Amino acid sequence: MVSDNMRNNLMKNILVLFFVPFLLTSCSKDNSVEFVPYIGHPLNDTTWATNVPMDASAYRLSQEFSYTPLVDSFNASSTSVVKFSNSVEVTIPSGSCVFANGNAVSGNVKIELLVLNKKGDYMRFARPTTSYSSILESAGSFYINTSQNGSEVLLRSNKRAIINFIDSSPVNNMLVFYGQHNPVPPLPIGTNPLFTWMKATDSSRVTTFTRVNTSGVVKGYNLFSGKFDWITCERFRDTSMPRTKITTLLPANYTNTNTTTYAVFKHSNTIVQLLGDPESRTFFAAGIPINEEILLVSISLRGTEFYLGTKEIVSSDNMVVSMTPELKTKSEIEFALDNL
Amino acid sequence: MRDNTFDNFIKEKVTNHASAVPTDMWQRIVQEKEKDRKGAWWNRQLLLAGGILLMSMVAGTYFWYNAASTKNNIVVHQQKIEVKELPSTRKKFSLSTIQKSSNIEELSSSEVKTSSAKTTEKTKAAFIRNNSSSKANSVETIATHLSVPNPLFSLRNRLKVGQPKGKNIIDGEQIVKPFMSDWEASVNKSKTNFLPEISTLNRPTGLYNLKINMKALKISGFKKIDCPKSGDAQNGDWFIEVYGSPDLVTKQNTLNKGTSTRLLQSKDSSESRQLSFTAGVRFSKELGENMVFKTGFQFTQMNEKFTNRIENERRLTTVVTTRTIIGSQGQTILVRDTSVTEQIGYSQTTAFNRYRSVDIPFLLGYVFTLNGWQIGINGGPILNIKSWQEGEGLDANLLPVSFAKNKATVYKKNTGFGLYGGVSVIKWVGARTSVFAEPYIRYNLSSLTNSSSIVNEKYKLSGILLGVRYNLSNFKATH
Repeated sequence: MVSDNMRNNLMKNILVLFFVPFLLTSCSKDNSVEFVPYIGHPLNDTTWATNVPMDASAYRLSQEFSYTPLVDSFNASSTSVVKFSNSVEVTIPSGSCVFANGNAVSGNVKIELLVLNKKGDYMRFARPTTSYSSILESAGSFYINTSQNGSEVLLRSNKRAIINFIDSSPVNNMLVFYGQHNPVPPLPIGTNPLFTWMKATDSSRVTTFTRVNTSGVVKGYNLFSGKFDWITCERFRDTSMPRTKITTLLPANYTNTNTTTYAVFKHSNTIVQLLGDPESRTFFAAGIPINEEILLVSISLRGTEFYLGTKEIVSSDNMVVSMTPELKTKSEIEFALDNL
Repeated sequence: MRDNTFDNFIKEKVTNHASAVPTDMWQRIVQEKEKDRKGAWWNRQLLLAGGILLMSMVAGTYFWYNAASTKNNIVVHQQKIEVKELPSTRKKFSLSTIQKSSNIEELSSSEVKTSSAKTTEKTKAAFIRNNSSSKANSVETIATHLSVPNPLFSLRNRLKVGQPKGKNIIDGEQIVKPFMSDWEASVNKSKTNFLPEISTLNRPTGLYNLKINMKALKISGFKKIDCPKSGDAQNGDWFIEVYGSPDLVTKQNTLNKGTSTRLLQSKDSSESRQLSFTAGVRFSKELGENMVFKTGFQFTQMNEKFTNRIENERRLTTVVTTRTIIGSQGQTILVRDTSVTEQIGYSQTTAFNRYRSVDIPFLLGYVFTLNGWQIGINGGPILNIKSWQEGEGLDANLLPVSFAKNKATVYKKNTGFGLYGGVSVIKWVGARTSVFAEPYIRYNLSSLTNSSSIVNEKYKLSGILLGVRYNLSNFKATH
């Protein structure tokens, strides 16, 4: 009997050994295709920042799409008219240049000039036509930098440089605004915390001109500026229309760290930047006139890839607009900016 | 009356005795081993295949030799006597003394055939015993062959006594003859047509353990009596074997002409073999005393895990978000938005490939008994009947592509012949039932893929068959 039991147990063990491998190997296992996102990859970044760092892609966009200034020189000891290739003339009166310490400058002075004329130019340099929360209409913006042997050269306080530039339809109520970097809080809602235009409070002014030359009648502006650096010839937009807020929604990985969004007015040279709101993860612009034909433009730099989103709207009260940027090459975005 | 048959038989056996090993033999072996190491893997596989074929041929030749020897109605019988040395200082023994010992422990199966005719015998024996320098290790192998021409009887005895050292051939007639005389006398005296098989003899002194295994002793003219077997299968029995095996698969990918090595590397890295299995049923037919022929059907499933990673994959995900924004008048506005979010990452494809086949083995085996266990050496071709596969693999562009069993793929539907070799250990667990374990190796001769495939895939399986064997023949036997 013992041997029978042993045999039975042996047979059971054999059966177990016999079937276990089959159970282990023959059972069906599902095939799978699993997608694993890269951790830390900029394309997968969905983080919104309360304070956008200066090395963020959103700021690098200006470096990517900006262009180099025109460079020339003048003699600070005499009144000089510097004519640039883009028909802009800068007149520097004699004895108007000083160093930062107040010492007079004589001799040749290097002058660099940037001109923002097209709507896309304002986006390239992130210089929207807004003064704090007020919307401006621009006739042209300029950046002038003067230096001698690497030392910054300034304009005397009582002197005016004259910027003469052509405009086919000059208006009479244009004002001079100076660029204000990092405006001091508290700032009105919709104010770009890094840069805004501030109306000149000095004797700066803008006049129009009409003259006849070999090519015909030429119209334009003479901007009398008491400063170098960023200068613009602008006026406030008509405030008779009711204002509203426009909000844009973008996919999750388009954030305020890699995207800039602008509202480009179709019928005026007005460009308003939509600011990022980390709480709602949206971009918004306040004070937009209702019934304004606007082209919403978003430019993103995710990793090394550029994305462009555009959407035409007619502004309405508390308008919320969804946008879907598309992958573009840098040259495609350049072309788009030149043709806004 | 005596004839010279037995003498001639002994002479044939003695002339095959091995000579002394040359002193430079090991150096030559080392040289040959060095040559083998330089050889390609393929040469090793050919050697393996050739070895299995050679084994099959030798086994077949042996079988046919035995079959031919039984055509003249000369029944060949075998008696094995094994003497195992126990701790002792005794150097020599007399077989007649052992024969007379009453300490018989076990009777093994034997078969006795009676004969009414007068018996004559001629006994010749050749003994191999240790030389004088190996006294301490006692007795070696003693082979005794008894042969009596038809119709009287034919008997072949083989006595085995272990000896670890050199061998000398001596005339052992003086030892065997008394044994045979006593044996014959016992048969004639009893007239009971019964001759017991002596399985084991233990000397009363405890110095030696003599194991006599007489298997299937048949004496022509005697009345047939079924006697218990010692564990060896009865000649001519049919067995059915049901078995299964966990298998390990070795796969060898080789390039077809013009294929990039990058594909081969990617394929090798993307495929990992998983535990596979074989299951089947086969019938085993004893041929002669030690030979068996086996055939049947077996199913094999080779499992493989395919993993492939594609970098810089992009995935679009539709996301529904609900946001709360502040309106121009400071009011709260709930905005529900559906957007598509793109993510970059890698896609990991995981597939469990299965290569299935149904095959018919044609195996010849040599079976012998060792300490109550049956040992079998099996080998032969294995013919593929049908193969089908499903899973995923890499195409020429290193992209995953699926292959299904019902679709035209790069894989063959029939892979032809393979080679099989295995060693089985069999243990009786019942009157008719035994279990066995058979470590084996199987090599598919041809590629699993078509000639148009970019990669040749050859497989080698190794595993251990675990099965149950059942004796289908009707006989009275106990084990």
